[in-house]
Amino acid sequence: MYKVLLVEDETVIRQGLRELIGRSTGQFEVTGEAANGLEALEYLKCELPDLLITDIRMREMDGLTMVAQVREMYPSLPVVIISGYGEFEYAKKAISYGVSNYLLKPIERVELVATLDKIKLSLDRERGISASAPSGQPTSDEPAGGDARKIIRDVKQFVKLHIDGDLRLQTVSGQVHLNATYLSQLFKAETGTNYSDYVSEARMERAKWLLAHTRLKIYDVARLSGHQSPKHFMLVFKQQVGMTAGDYRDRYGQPGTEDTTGDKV
Amino acid sequence: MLLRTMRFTREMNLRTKLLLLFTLLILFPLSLQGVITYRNFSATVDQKTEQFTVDIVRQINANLDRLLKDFERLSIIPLYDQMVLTILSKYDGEMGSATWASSDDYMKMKLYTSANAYDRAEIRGIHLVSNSGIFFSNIDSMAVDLVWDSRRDEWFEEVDRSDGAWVLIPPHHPSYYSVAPSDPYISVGRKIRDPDTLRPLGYILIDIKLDAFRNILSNLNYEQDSNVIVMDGQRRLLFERKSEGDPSTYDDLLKHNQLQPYGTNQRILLNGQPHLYVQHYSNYSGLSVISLTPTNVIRKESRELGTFTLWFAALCVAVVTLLAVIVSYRITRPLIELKKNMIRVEQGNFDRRIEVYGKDEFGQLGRGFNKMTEEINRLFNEVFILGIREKEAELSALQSQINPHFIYNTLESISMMAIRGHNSEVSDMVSALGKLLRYTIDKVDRLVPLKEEIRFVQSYVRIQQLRYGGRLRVEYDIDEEVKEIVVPKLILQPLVENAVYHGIDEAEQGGTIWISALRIEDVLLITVRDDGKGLPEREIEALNEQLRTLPSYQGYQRDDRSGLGLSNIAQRIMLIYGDKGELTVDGSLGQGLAVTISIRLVETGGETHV
Repeated sequence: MYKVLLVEDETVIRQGLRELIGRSTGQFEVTGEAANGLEALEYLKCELPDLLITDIRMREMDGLTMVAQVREMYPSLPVVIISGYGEFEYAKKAISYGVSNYLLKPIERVELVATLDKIKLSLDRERGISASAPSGQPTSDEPAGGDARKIIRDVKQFVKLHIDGDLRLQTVSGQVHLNATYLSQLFKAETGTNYSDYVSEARMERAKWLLAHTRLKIYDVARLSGHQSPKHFMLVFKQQVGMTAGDYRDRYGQPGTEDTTGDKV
Repeated sequence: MLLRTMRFTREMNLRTKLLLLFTLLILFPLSLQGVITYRNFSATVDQKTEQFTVDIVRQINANLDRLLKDFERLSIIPLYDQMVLTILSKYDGEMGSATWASSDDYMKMKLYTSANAYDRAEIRGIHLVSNSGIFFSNIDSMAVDLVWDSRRDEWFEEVDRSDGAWVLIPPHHPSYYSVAPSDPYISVGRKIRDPDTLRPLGYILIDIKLDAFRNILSNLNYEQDSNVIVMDGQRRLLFERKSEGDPSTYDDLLKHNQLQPYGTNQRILLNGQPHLYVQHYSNYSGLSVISLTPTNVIRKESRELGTFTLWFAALCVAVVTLLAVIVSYRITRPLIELKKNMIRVEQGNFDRRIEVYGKDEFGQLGRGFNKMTEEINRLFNEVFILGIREKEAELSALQSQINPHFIYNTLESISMMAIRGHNSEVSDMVSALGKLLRYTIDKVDRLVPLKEEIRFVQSYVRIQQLRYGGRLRVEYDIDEEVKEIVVPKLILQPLVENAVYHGIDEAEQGGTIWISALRIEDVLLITVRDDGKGLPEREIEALNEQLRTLPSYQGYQRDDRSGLGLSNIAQRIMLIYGDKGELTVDGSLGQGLAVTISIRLVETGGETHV
């Protein structure tokens, strides 16, 4: 499930868009909402959505200014602009910020869906999820107990998409409609790894990526990579990687994140 | 200086330049020729006058010679008269010793001298004087002395010394007159000697009035303003003719020692004034005649000529200037006319026309100007009308002045409210409406690819279909290859709208509209056809006729809302493409109408433009 931050100052439109996004596409869910650029930036300090959808004309801070600042924090975050303004100057600026699409109000449903589909594909590629995998939740159209490989692939995809969520074996097995014990055995047999080890590893990889690509605070990194306790996360990180999370960020982090190392905990 | 002159020349207008040019061209040679002619002519005249003066002076001297020769002869006659000789010899003796002579002798001598002086008005008196001083004269004895001691008068010495030759005595006042004469006399005198023995017997004196000289001068046609001096070989003044009251030129000349050698003619300065000095010397009498003529008198004739020339030149200048004014005016008039009209054109008055005269360059220029203004006028009207038409087309749908962004945002809100109410149809209708508005209002492009026109029509059709439900069916048949061809914006939708209103609106069972675009060779054909009730053929012909007429203000102002859609499009196509594009209507009663736009494409560099 990809998370969407929706920035729009008119409540009616924001609610409508949230509903439209949730209803017309399976993979996107509006997890954050903001009425202007400042609110959105505040939200982004401790949360990392997969997609940012924003209006341009808003009080406090307009969309393009906000996008410019977001670009400094998350250079690769996909952004879609929805605006009543079709003026060339806006479009030009938007392009210079690497905006994925620029939709004109009133937006056409078909157009929005097509845009979201396109973004989903590129997000999938980024996360290493096979593009050929059936879209939507693994359980939606696949009978339980299908091909074992396919089940394992679905499980892995579920883990990647819900890395900060509930990944207990019971929950996952419920998703694929299998007995928890059977799934554990099947997973071990298919991949040669324990399910829990796989999850830990995936979470650690996500934490590393977040450390390197964002300037989220370390306890936010811990939370967003699915670790319950920041302290526990730092301990495990040092044990597994051989250095503290802060040192890791210093070494592999992007140059733009240097000045925020003081935020480390 | 030259630079300034050039700049000045540049600032002058053409008419002044031409005027100056003509005047200079004519006046310069004219005055040059005048000056040279005058110079030569006046030099010749001066020379002639000078020569004339010289001739006159010579003539005076010749006349003097003749006169004197006469007197000389008169003075020698007594030598051949025995009676005279006898009487003179009777009164021989020391000068001053004589007392009287016999009255008979006086009488004889008086008769003799009177005979000689007869009818000679210039002669005052002829006197015969004996050695002893007896004075015989033709003049009455009361008026002269009977005895005269010659030693009383100095001038007589010269006669005495002459020893038989004749002498000329300059003006003097003889003492023998009882009444002293007011005017001096010139005298010819001779010592009379016995022809045989050469013994002196007496003297003869002939007193001559100055009038004799005066007559000689006055008989000749001679300048009244010139001074004439006659002097003898010893440079003594015999006679001088001068203006009344003037100081004697002779004295002046003597004082300044300016008397020239004989036979010269030259210019001298006298009393500060230049004079022509001419002198002639007579070999016979030893007299010199000197003429002094003021140069300005000599130059009088040439001066008159100069004055005449000057007046004539002034007249010429006046005539030439007048002619130059007329000619330059004639030449520049068409140009100035052109300039005036050009200024009016600059001010935006394009319907000025120039009357064209002749076939010269100005005529051609005028014709060119007329053609140009006509063209400008035509283009101006076209662009102007085209602009109005486009504005009309853009705004006929939306006459509101409300901020479009507000409308878009409001439409979005409506759309989202519909979505929350699970009413996707409303959302779709609203977004189609938004697209419709956006395409209509955005004026950025005048020409757009055909596919955008099609997309716009699709939005329009979607809304209309929502309104009409299933009654409106639209079929598209668009060739892939024509989708990128650019066409004027907003030409297709009005045709569809026309078809919807006229073809479908009134039909109970609804209708179908076919929209097709294809390319046949180099012609783009866009057709909108409906299956409505159509029109009678006569009306279709009338409609086509009306669509072919060019736009005009009258046509524009006519309030014909129903036909506006089609004629508007037709006129825009005509204005943009000229004869390369047209809009025609086809069909018949009961068969529906087909409206076709055909545009002849021009291929440039592989890409298709219109």
